[in-house]
Amino acid sequence: MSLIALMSVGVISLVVWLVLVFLSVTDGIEKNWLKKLTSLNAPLQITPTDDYYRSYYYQVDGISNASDYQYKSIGEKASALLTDPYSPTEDQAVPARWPDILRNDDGTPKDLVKSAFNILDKHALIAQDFEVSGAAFKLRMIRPQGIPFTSAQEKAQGHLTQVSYISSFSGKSPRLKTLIESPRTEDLNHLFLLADVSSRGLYEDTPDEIEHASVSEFQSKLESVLSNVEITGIKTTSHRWQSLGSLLPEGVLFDVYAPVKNGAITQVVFPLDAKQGSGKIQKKQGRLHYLGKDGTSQIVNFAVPLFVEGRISMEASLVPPSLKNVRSLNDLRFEITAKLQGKTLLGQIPWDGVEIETAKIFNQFDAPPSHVPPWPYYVNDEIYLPEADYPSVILPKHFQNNRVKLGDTGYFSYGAATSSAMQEQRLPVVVAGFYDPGVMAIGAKLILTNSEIVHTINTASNTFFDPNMVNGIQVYLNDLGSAKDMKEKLIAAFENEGILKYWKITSFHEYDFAKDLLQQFQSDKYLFTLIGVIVLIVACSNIISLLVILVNDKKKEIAILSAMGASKRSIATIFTLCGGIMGTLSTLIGTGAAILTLHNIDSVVSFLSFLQGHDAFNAVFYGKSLPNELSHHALVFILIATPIISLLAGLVPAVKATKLSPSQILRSE
Amino acid sequence: MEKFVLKATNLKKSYFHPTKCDILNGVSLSVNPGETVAIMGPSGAGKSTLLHILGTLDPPSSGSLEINGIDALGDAGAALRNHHIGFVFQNYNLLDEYTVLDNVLMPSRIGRISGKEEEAKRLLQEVGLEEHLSHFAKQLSGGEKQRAAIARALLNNPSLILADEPSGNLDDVNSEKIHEILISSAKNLGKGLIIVTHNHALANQCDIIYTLQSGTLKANKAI
Repeated sequence: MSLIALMSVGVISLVVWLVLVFLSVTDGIEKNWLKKLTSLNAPLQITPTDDYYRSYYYQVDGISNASDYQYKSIGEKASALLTDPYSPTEDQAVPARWPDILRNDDGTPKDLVKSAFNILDKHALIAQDFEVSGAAFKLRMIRPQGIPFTSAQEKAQGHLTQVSYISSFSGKSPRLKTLIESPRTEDLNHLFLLADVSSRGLYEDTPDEIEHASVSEFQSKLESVLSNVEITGIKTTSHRWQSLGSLLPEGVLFDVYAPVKNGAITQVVFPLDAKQGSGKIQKKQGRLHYLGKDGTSQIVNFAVPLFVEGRISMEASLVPPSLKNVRSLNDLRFEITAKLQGKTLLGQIPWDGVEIETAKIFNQFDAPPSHVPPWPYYVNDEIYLPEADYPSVILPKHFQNNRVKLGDTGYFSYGAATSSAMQEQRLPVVVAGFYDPGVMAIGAKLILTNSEIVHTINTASNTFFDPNMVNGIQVYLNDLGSAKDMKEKLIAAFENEGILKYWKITSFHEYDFAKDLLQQFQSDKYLFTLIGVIVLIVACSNIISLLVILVNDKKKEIAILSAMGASKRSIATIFTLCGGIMGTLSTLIGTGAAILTLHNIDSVVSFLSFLQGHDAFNAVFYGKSLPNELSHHALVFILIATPIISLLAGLVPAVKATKLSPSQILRSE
Repeated sequence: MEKFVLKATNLKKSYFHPTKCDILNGVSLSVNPGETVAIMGPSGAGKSTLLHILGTLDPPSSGSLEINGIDALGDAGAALRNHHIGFVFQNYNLLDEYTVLDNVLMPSRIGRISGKEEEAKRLLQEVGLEEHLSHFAKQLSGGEKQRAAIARALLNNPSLILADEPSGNLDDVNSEKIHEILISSAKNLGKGLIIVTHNHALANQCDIIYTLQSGTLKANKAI
């Protein structure tokens, strides 16, 4: 009996575990996707309607000298000095078909954009205008050829072209922070590699040669990186490592292979770990002495190349350079500690034949930094793009697959109508970072950059998109759940202000690219919960079988207790409680196991991947690692559903127990 | 007016499977405090059925039953058994997984009456089981089990004790011991005692002997 009870508890625990882990992971994935959907595109968007574009307020810029006869974007409208730039004396007459100017109660012209921002301010909402555009994006990729950071290294260049969407970068978005990735070590190395490359010639289709940067340009690039990074570890870039000679401690023997040709050593190879070679090397008074196994000995010439069988990683810190004296990377020196054959190497080496392996990257500041890093940085939670010689772009991380790195330069190419023809225009940009575009349909092609660039391209090629879609206001909320409520509040406030017909307010539930996905999530959630309930019911049915067996087994005892005055209710309570206790116990065990599993989800995934022989979960869909937070919704569901279903399961045998006739049982005993 | 411990009037009991079969055909019976009653009769006559009906374990088809002036066929059932009736069965019906003391204390636990430990120990001493308090019921011999069962029946100080062949499974020595305990408890404590038995020796110790035949009780004078 107790074995069956244990098995029942085990089965229910297993189901509780399964349901909790499954619902938690799916819930986490949904939350992640939702975050991604609403971080690039805020939970609420306010876009101008056709009425806005037909309004006097919008059209008037096109005929006003004060506006340079240029239509204004929402951002420009928000910062414009004049609500009505029209001057009856200077500008042409207002066309008769235009709608009337909208006025406030006091007769002043109503500013549609500023009124909208005022309402958002009153609701204490973080809002920023956005603009989307499109252009061809051409990247010039300069890559090292040969062994990096050595004299043997040269630079080659290639190009990458992609037609892209361009969206204005919203530094105020509270979630963008979670999407922007920190620079990788290879990005850092690349920035150093590019430090001496001039950005000139960027506009050309195929610049013939890579031009060296001027000393001042090189030093300023170096300063921008070095001020915002602390290098903690470096490693050699090839087997050959000439600096080793200066690092070897005096009087310590190292195992080496040293081929001899014509009586002279041609090269010295150090194994990483101590092992028998052709002899040993020892440093004496700054010279390397070779002691061969065969008893020969000779001094190794300084020019003999030194090799290490493998790459050496070492702790390193940069010796603070005096930048005005630095003319190449070789002028930078590291203070290093490394191990070779179990012996410590200590000393200073120049940046030659080594690259950065680990570094601390600074991107959080309390006040604007004096030396802006070449990557996005945060000042008091607001994100800023670096402003170097050229505007920065943040690329979707898919570009990393094309080996694009931080510091790569390129340009946007777009057509602008001139008086005679369409002419290609180029806007140079530099790659400042990567972000995770999540699941957006156009995510792989959406480049973030500052709003001026987007507006410049839009103004030049204003037929590129439906105007309603390219410009608007993003409204950020801390609680996604309040998006629908806030939308209603804003609609009421806009209505009250009399500007509702000029604006369309949408919550993320209605975004075209998100709608289907969100509905699918909702259906999935219901479906998974339903499956959870069914599986739980099936598992809890075990309790029914177990307790029915128990009732049959304990018939005599039930009759005895009944004869002694136990009421039917108390007998029923015993069996119902039995079910409830089993359910509760299983819930606790299953929940504990689920917490443990979620805590170690990465190991579980690795194991599953190992079993399958390939990645169990595609990172594109599920993120770098599966969510490991216990879902509250799932926990509440389990904590309520399992004991209730178990109690109900306990009721069936309980009722059976009360139907027993004690008289019959006692007589048959 | 005389106060009966038990008053049964015109009790009838019929079974309908497969055909109608009248087990009791109008049984009337009253028991006074301190009165001992033996019910005899051939096997299958319905003695146990009558006893179970009197003990509210089984409802009659018709008739009325009062125990201590309370209508025993109403809602009172379980509480009535707990407070007013003590059962002694032929096969003892102790709970094997519990100790002797726990078994004796069971009626007080069911009735949520606290502070009965001393009483239980006293009763067990009276039936000569003071050495076996902490033994499991299954470790006892038949006679010991029945003595423990009697102690259990007496714990809640019921006014009526119903015994169904109390010595049916015991040897003569043990039987006599049980008879003596039962009769003397009833007499000394003023409880009504109804014993269903085939044992003439036991029946003869009772105040009244009834024979159940053809569903009715016939009174024989005590010898």
